[in-house]
Amino acid sequence: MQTSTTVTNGKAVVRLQGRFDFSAHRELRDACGALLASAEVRELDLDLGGVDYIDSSALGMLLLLKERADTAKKPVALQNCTGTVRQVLEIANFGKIFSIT
Amino acid sequence: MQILIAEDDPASQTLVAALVRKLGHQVLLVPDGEQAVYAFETQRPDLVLMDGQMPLMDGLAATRRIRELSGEHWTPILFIAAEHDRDVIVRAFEAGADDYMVKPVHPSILRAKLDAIARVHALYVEGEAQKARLQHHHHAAEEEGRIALHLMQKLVNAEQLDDPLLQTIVVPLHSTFSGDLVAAARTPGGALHVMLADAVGHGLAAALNVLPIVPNFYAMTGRGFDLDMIAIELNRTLRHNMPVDRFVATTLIAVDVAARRIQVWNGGDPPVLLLAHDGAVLARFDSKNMAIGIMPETAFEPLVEVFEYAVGCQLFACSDGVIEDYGRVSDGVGRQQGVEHMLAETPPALRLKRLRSALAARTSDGSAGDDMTVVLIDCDPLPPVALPLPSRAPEGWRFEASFDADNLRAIDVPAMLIEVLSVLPGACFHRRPLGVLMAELFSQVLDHGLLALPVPSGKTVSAAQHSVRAAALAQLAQGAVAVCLNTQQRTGVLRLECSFRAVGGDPADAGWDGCLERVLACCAGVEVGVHGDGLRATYALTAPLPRALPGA
Repeated sequence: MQTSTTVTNGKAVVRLQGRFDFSAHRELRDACGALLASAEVRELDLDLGGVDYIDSSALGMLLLLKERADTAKKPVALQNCTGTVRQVLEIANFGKIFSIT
Repeated sequence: MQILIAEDDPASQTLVAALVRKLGHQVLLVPDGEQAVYAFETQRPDLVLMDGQMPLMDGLAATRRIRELSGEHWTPILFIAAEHDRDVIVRAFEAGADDYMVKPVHPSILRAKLDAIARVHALYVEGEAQKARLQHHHHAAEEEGRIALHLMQKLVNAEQLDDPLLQTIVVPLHSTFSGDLVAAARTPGGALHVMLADAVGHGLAAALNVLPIVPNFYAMTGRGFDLDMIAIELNRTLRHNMPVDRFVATTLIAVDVAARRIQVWNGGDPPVLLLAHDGAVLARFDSKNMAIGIMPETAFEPLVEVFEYAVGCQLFACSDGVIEDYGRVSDGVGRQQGVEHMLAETPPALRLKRLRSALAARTSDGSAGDDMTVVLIDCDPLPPVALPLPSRAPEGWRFEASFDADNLRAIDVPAMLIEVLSVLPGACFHRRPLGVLMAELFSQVLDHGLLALPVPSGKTVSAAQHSVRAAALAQLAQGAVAVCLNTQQRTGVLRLECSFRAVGGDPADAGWDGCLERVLACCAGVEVGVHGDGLRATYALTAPLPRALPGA
């Protein structure tokens, strides 16, 4: 899975591309770790529009990310969730803890 | 290296041997092919220099033989041909040589070739060592898997999975371990609870995540807790024991056949379907909760859906491995719809078989990407099917006890007897009717045989009668109730014989007939008779479950 990041006016958008599964662990951690630690970033959005496959370990990664973001007091939102990704997030009821669009 | 040199010409022998020694290797010298083979077998040198022309088995034959003997362990063979004969050289390679030189052997060429072979040999040795280390790890992992499987089997009450209402298919993604788990148990009231748990990932690592919540499920079901309380407790336990990314997608189902009520708590699994026998979907229980182990206790509010059914029907639940499309871009509903369609057009009795074939096909064509599990529960207002004879039917199991006045006041005898009976295989299914039977036999013998109370006229025991008994029991000075429970196997049916007698009491004159009627009224399918100063009932443990009638 590839990630690309842009930061505008304190809002960081991390675009995920490809297969979001167990192998994406390091990529996601590296992409988001610095952003959560940076004083210039006030909120974090994950753009999942380019994700063609998502499994339960990816959901686990999102939960861990939320935990770290909560500690850093920065909100995390999930954007561009369509198709399979949207389905999986709905069955998991992630809307209860994430803002999903 | 230790190098075997097979050379018949004495001059060449001296030359080559000297060259090899000069390069720092040890030499083993033989004059013909036969001795070369023998030397190889006994000494196992690191490398062989084989002369092409020798008496008593020439170089080619010896090379072939040595290659055979060397087997899985690679020994480099360097063939020394008399001249640049293409034919000979090709045949040397075909016989198993790894390289060749042409006579006369030039020192620098020999050295270069030996160095090159030594490099390759070193790689080979390292490769073998890694292979050995890998095998060692593999065996250790297998052993760990075996122990974990043993532990899982102990924790999961496999006997209760044989419940007549329940059918399951468990297909692990790899080898023997599925990260999905199915557990089943009956409440004291006779309702069936089923848990389908799908941990993150698959195989042993995933299965370990489910372990902490298994004992909770059994304990709480055994105490008659409802699904919402069970869900709260499972969530609390997993939050406490596991990090948040090790959650468990869980479905909890309760089926009360007597009340014709279904309850479903679905947290993260595909929709649970209730299907009529003709395939129509009567109800659909979508995942409305987060999986177990995510929400903090204070925010966890379980949503349990209830459905009361009027006709015979069947519940279908599965883990997401069954409906997922792996490695393919899809709109996400393809396989879910496929499964629903298959269920709708298959009669209930054949659904298990069709599902099993479908899952086996996915395993063999490689389209399975996760552990797959299916649960089917029959919800039928019709009488349940006969239970099979348990495989460990106890021959001649016997329990005898006598309860004197003090014990009768202190001990809840029917409850104690139910616990005693729980050691019998299949007893969990009979808990409710046996509970009613024990209570009825005991109270009849106590009231009528020991306390000399008149046989009540109505079917139910009124509050007034309870207090009369309590008063009489408080006054009881002597006498006892003797209980004997034993099993017998007759005509393929395992029967439980329960005998309750009043000892040293003052039986009323009215006789026991009224008591017999009462016992029969509360528990259909039981044979009861008068026995000494008491009653004896025979209950079939492996025949259709008798139904305790309402009001008992």
